[in-house]
Amino acid sequence: MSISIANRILLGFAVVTAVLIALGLYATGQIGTVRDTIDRIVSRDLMVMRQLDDLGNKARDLGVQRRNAVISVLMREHGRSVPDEDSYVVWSRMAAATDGLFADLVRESAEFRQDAISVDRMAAWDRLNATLKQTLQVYNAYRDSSDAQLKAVVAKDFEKVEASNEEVSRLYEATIAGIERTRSALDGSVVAGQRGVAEVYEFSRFSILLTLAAGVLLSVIVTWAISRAVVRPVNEVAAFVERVGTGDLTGRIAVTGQDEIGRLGTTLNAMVGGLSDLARTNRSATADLNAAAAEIRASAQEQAASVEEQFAAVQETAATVDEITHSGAQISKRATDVIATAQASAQTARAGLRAASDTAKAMDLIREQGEAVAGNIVALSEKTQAIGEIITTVNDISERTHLLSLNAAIEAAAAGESGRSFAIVAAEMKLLADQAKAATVQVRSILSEIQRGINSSVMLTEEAVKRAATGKTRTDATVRTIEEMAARVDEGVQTFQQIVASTNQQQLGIEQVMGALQNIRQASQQTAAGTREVEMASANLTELAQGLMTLAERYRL
Amino acid sequence: MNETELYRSLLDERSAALAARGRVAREVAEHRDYLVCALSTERYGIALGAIATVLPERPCTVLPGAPAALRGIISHAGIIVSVIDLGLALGGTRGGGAGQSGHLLRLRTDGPALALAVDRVIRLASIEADAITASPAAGPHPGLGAEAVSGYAPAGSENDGVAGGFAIVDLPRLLRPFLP
Repeated sequence: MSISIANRILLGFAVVTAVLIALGLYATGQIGTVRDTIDRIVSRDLMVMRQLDDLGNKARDLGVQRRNAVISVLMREHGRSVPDEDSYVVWSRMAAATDGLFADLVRESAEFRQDAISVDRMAAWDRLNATLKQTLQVYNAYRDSSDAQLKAVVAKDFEKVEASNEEVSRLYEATIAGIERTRSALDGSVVAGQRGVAEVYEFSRFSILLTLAAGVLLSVIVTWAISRAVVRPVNEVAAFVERVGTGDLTGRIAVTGQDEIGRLGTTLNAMVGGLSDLARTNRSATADLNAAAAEIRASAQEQAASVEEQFAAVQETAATVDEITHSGAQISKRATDVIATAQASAQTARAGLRAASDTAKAMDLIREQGEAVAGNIVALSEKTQAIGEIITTVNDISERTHLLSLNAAIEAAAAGESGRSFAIVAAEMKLLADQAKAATVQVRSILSEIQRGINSSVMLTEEAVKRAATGKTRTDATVRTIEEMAARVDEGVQTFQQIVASTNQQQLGIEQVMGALQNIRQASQQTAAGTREVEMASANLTELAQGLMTLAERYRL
Repeated sequence: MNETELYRSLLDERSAALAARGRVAREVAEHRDYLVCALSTERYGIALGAIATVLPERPCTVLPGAPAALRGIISHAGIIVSVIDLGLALGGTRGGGAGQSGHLLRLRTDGPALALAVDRVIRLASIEADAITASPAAGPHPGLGAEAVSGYAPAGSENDGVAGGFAIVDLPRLLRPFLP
């Protein structure tokens, strides 16, 4: 259950006011009680005191009457004249009033004892009642003796009056003393009444003070409750608003409800939500702005770099074109030189053509002579073959001679001592055969060397003939080449003359290109200046975007 | 002439006497004649007295079932001559590496006519009997040894001074498997 703040404060004031009213009513009641008590005590005590005074007066009047009667008797006795009056009747009336007064006092003291305000008062009334009763007994005795004396007075019985006067006076004194005691008992009752009134007063004061303390305590509790119910939510809201103020948009206040603080919390939540959305949008937009500014700056820097490169390229191009101009002039000069050199080459080529033709004829002669040498060598080779056959025959003969000598030696050995001389002949024959064989071996090796030499000579000669033929062919090709070369040189001369003309035209075109490059260079410088301005502007924009980013970073989402 | 020269002349004299004593003994030593044949790179000597004649090599008629060393038979002077390959008979490889230049040695035998085929007949050699080194397996007499080579003639031991030593073939021991 939620109560609004105003209702809470009103409720607190109502409770405090009710407590104060109750306290006042109670105090008033207690004051009334004290006053009633005092009234009751004072009225009772005063009434009893007055009656006791009455009683004392009556008793004294009785005594005075009796004494007057006695005195009159005595006077008569002594012979004096005394007005005759009826003392006894007066005395009887007085005695009856005194009896009534005694009865009233006894009855009243019994009644007051019944509804006494305190135990002390009850005891006091008890003592008063008891004293009254004792006094009443004494009084009854006094009244009876007085009655008898007075009757004697009436009867003029002097003796009897005289005799009873002592007793009656003693009873009279006892009665007066009893009344005085009763009066003292009444004083004790008065003191007890004062004490009871003081008790009631003390009780009332204490209870009022206690109630006042309870009221103060209740007021404090009510104030604390109001403070607790009002100040704490307000403090929470204040703390939340302070957090929002420092930029913390992440939290939401927990205080909700139907009261004022709850509505304030709901409204603050909605407000912080809106602020959070706003800050988020702001942050993303700022980030986009920052990125866009950075891209603009980067592209501006790239553009500046490319413009610088373009400028440098234009400078290089201008330098290159200048070099081309110089080289074109050199080309023209060199081409003129080449034309002169080519014309000299054409003359040289014609001389070379004549020399090559002579060389071709010499080659033909060399080939014919080489062929003749080859034929001679082949004839020599055939002769060598014939010598080889002869050598084979000689070798066969030497072999047979070898065998023959061996057999002869064998036969000589078989013949014993008689064949010894024949053995010597056979040994000589064998020696000759061996020498002949060795000679044939040498001749055969020499012949094979000759044959190898002949073969290589034939091959070399044939090679020489072939090379002479090849040389002839090449010389013919050289002649044709030189002829072509001379024609080409003539063509080259014409081409270089065209080159010179083209180079002159190229020089004119290059001068125009130089003018265009100057224009491009000026435009590049202007572009570079503009790009630098764009770069500075984009740098400023980037700084602004970063400042916005820093501001947006204050808000935590 | 002092004492040293006298002593030296005495020693020279004594040396000459000792050298002359060996030369006299060698002159009276027995000589044996051998026919030196070539088989591939080896040299073999055959006693000259056992050889009848030297023939140039000719084609042989091969005999079926014959031992490997028996190359075949030829006809010579009207006589059937069995041709034994000396290389195979000595336990080596077949001769004939020289081709047509090979020689046949017709032997003087009592039984069947035999010829030894060699690569080439080189020369005659006359060796001193003392210079021949006997093979450890050779017997006391020809034909009784364990192997067909009975000894070795050292190089330079011939009278004519021709270089090159050779192995001496024990012909009776060599021919023992081929004779009845």
